[in-house]
Amino acid sequence: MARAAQEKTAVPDIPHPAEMTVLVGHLKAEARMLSALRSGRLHHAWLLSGPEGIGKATLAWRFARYLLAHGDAPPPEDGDLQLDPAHPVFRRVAARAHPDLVSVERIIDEKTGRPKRAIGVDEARRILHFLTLTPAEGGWRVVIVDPVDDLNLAAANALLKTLEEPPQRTLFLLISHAPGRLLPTIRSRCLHLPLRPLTPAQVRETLALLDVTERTDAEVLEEAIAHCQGAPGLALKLVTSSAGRLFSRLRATLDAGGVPDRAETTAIVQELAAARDPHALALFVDLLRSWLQERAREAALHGNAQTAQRLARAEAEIAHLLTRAESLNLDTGLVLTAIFQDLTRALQASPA
Amino acid sequence: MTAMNGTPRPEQLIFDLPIAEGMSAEDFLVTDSNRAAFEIIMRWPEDDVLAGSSPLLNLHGPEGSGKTHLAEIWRARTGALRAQPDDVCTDNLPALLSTGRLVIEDMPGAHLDETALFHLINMARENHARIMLTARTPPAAWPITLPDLATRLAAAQSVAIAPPDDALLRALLVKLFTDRQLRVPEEVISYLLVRMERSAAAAQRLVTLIDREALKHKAKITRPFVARLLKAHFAGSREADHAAEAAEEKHDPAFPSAEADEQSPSSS
Amino acid sequence: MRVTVERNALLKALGHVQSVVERRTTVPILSNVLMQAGEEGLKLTATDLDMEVVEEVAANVLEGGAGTAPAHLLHDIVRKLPDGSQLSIEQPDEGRVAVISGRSRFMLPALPPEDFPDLAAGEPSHEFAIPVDDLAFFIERTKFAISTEETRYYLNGIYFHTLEREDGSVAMRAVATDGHRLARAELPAPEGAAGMPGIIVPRKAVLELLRLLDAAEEDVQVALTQSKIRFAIDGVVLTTKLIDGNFPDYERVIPIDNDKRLEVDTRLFAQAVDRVSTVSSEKGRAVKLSIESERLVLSVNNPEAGSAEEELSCHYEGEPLEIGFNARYLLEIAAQIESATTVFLFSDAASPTIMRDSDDDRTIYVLMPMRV
Repeated sequence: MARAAQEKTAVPDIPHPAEMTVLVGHLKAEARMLSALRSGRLHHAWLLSGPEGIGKATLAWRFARYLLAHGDAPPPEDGDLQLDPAHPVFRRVAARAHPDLVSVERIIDEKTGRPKRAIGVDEARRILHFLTLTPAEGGWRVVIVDPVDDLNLAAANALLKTLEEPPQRTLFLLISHAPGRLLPTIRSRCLHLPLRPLTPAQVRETLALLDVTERTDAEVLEEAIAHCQGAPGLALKLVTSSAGRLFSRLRATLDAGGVPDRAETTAIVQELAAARDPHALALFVDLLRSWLQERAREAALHGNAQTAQRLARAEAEIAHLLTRAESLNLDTGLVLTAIFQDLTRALQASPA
Repeated sequence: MTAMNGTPRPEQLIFDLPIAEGMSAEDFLVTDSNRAAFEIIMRWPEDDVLAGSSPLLNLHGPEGSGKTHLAEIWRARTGALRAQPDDVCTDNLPALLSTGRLVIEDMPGAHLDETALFHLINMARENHARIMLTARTPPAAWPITLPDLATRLAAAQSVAIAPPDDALLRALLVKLFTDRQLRVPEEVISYLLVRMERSAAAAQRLVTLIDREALKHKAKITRPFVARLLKAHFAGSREADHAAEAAEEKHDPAFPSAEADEQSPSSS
Repeated sequence: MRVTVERNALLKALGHVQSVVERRTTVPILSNVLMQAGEEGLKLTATDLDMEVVEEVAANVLEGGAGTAPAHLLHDIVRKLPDGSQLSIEQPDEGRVAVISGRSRFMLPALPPEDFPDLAAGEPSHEFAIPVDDLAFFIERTKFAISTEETRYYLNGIYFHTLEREDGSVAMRAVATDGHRLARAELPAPEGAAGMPGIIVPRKAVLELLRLLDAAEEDVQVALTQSKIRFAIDGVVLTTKLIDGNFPDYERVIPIDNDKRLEVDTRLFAQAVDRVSTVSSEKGRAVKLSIESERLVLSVNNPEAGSAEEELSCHYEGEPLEIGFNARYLLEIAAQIESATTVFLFSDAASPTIMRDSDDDRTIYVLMPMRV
């Protein structure tokens, strides 16, 4: 995997939720899972929803590991879903090599660093095949779909039938960043568990537990916590990727009401292009877009409709540019230059 | 049997492999159309309010609406015996009531011995036995000639199963496919749901047809397959399924524009 | 881990285990073979998460331990080492496995053995030993009838079960069907098998098993747990998940009162079917059998490719009968019949037909006709 370029910090790669040992917050959701286990009537499908990066998948994998390791025997009263990382089930699940668990996930296109647009029917078929065979341990089978939003229609269709008449002792854990957009028939089969963003203190705690804090410049860390919208996943990206540092530099200019000059944008374009990390470009653009969205919303709230519209349009154009760049496989530098032109135009027209 | 050009096309016949239909209470699909019936079945006659004075319960509803399934649930719950209307004759009465619970299915039958049934009901009343009758129509619609029996039947508690609503039909299609251990994508269900006759019996017939045709052609059950099948089948000839087969062979996605056919298959 | 092992023994074992490793898998550890060095020697394990093959190889264990390495790569390397050479496998550090033989030295990337899946766990409910020939017989006689249609996943394997015969003895049966034809093989049940639950062994495992039986000599030890079956074949252990479905009550489609009996020479019949079906269409492949006293005529009539007819002598005493079948199905069943004579039992042109070996009542084949 490409690593972000040369920071003085050497933060470890962000663990996949299947390997994640740390979960902060979401205590209520975990309590729901525990009490479902205690009641002996475990609902067959759970929908975990909420913004990206707050720990939905981490919680899902944690639940899956617990069930595979302990079955549905009632957990002790003061217990949680934590499983020792040295436990054989933990190891195999982390290696995606547990015979009674199948996960269908967003596939990252290595070229662009962005997720492929959809999870297709071939992936859904893996689930169906998995369910035609008995569980190897004779216990529960677990299916994780992360995120279920990405299933294309055919894949969602294939999955839906098994949600309607689920095989015995099978747990579906569906993760959704936008549950409102799901097929209502999928939503209605699931026990819906909405998860909320974490507090800054919880994000800070998460980063500390992941050994990020001591390896990160305090200022960078605080920036990340302040701008991650309660999602430690995003905070991690902000501190590990050069995109995060570059964007905070740009944000300093933008927040002060200024327009970045050519020297500044050129420096960013050069650094990002030199990083040769497609994830960094994607993250940088994501950050820029959410900044624009946020300003547009503020402007709208203050009755400044024109500005709001212009900023929103710039955001949409940038999004469009990026999609086109992906399909044409354009050079990072070119894309960024075009994006900055859009940005500059939008900002210069607005009253400072 | 013979296609337009006069040449018969060979057709593979298939085994009539039995299917195991789920008949337990968990398998019963409860929606608004049958909730009243289901709830009574689960409580009668232990629940005093429901017990009433009559030893009879009438359960009536259209073909395939789940009467037999409900009767089976009640039998499993109460240990009732099961009989046909023809079984009711004077010699049999004590045997029929030997467990104190009895289901007589598909009333009134063609040759009902009305006197024997009248005695059976009286005997049940004396012995605190209970009898469930299932039928497509309420007792008032049966051709009963014995006035005393008619009175007894009219005094019985009666519960109707309404024609299935959409939720029930959908769930029923899913259950029927699952009983047959068939993997069917959701879009097939949706496709059938907007086109089929609104009855449980029609759902049974459709799923059976799809199952058999797919087995015959070793085909996957997809929406285009089902669309071709319905169009062909309900166009009323066997060429139809030859056509479906031919299309299957050629992988002709356009054949024969069945997607556009919004007509209900039952209308022909 | 540090072991020395003889190249040919290792190659043979790797050949067995690597065949379950999928060439394209998104899970890195599943491309690997697990190597465990213990007192018994070197144990190799490979899996695709649906089944697992384990084999022990005699080895000189200098230092116990475990490691994993890419299965296909390792197999290729060992294959290219000289016949009869000794090789040594060691793990210089956690991330690498070294294979050394003579002056050849390979370093392969390793993954932690703790991450390797385990399909073997579980207490068996039934255990029995079955002769190699019996197990091979069950599979060979039925595998052609297994359905490959994914929609019918419950037919995608061989159904094994036991039953009590009329004389009180217990029999074991293997059954497969695709809805058009059915094959049933029956043998006395091995001791300990009585009362086992009916199970459906997936097609892929069945075929793998057959390969392993090829060179086997000793009885196969079978163990059944709640959801898996394990076969131990001369030091190779295959464990597989089962199909999670209900096999249909197949007895209902086997006719018991078909009274029209035809006897025909097996080879001549098969050759004639093969010849006349040359002109049949690709898909239908229908052959018509016209049967009357002592005379069987096979015919195919294809408007595009012409027609064909061939007459065979036979033994038949019932009323004249015309009945069609898929030629491929007839050939596949005829290929299972070893004796000189095949027996057909018909009812009518639209009902299941029985085909049997005249000398062997352990197998029975049922075939649905084609309407011609």
